[in-house]
Amino acid sequence: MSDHEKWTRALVAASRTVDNPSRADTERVGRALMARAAAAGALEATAATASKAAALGSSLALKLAASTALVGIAVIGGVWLQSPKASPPHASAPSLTVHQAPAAPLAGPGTKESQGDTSMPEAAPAANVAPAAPPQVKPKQASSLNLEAEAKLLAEAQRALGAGHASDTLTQLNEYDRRFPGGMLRLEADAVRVLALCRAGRKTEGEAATRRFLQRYPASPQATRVEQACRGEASTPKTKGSGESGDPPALSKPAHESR
Amino acid sequence: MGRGITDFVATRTNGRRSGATGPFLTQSTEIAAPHREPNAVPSLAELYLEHAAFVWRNLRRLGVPQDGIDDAVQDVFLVAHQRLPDFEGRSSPRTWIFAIMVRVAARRRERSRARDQRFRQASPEFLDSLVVDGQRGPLELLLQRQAADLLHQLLAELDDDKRTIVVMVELEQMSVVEAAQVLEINLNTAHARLRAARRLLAEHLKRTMVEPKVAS
Repeated sequence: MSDHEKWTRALVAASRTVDNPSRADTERVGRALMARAAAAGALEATAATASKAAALGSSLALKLAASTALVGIAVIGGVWLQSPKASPPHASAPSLTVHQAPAAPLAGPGTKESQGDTSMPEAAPAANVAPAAPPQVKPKQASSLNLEAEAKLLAEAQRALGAGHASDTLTQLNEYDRRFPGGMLRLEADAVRVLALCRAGRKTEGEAATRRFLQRYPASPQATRVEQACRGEASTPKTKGSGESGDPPALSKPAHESR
Repeated sequence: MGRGITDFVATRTNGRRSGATGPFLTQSTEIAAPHREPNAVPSLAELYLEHAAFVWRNLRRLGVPQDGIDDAVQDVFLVAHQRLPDFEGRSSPRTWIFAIMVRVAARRRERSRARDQRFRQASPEFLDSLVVDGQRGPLELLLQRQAADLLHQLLAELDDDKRTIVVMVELEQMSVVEAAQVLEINLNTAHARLRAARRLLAEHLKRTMVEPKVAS
């Protein structure tokens, strides 16, 4: 047994430096990310989103390029110029195309078990430059699209709240609940709901929602903010323990309003 | 709020480039989060550049297959950015991001479990060659790649909590306290899971070595 434990440790030690993305990977995913964020409206909650996101995308590209080996630049440039789908990330362009175009070159590190794969950053682009063969495995997009739609709807809800339209926020959150019952941003949606209920003056519901939230997510980053939502914004921020304590504060220490 | 994202990125670019002669992007994950104004939210680009490699490699370790990694990495950063205004710095950024990764990986893994069933057999010779760790030539890199593939197989057999704690503590060398935060369990439980996980990994490795699973 001790041999196997020793070998396990050796495996772990040998694996620590593996699995980092190549620069081409980072560049490709970064661009796609910016495009998706722009499409989801997650970057800025203003009308200027599109232009800013585009500018951001290109400055990201510049920054990445500046740090990339010459080989990398040539390869990346080549790929992006050749591919008709790979337009620079524009919010107006459907993010899907930008996002999908680089899927084929993924046949780089790690996909094959071949001996040639050494996961060296410079080695990967050479493989990637091969013209995109039709992907054997159809990349699934459902969840990505869902996340965008989710983020977009939630951003709208937050925007409405910021603009003082709490009832609009609640309408949008109801839609969120309906469309994404198991959404990735469920926690955020629940937090926004608490804030909106309190902001709308629906104090009883807000307090009930607060308690539910703190029960479900006692250690979430939003816990403090949610806890204070219905008590007015001016209360002093309370420092909580580092999230290990199991009991939600709201239960052990009811809000000072009488119920 | 006028954050001036592009200006911000430009500033950061200048700041970073001086030290960026090496593998800049992978190094950048080791750089601690810069001090910010209390209300300043880092831009998505900044967040990404800071943590891209960290997220990438750990999603792989958490079981996200290679052909799903692009999407999964993006998902993590979209969720993280969405939540960022609420992040109060109670935990370290990496702990916080890791918690998001665990959720994203759980979804991605389910979709691909059936597909990614390669099985690699380990020989004592191979494993012994890992122990004598010396220089980093092509052969070493190849061995490390194979070691990582094998380790991923072993990790895939653990339950989610054990896998997470091994990846955080053993591979990323984060603290057990941080792992306990991510898993929302207490410290003693976390230590117990880590011990159990180590034992299971060794057992799975042993099985890998005796069972001739694949005859191709």
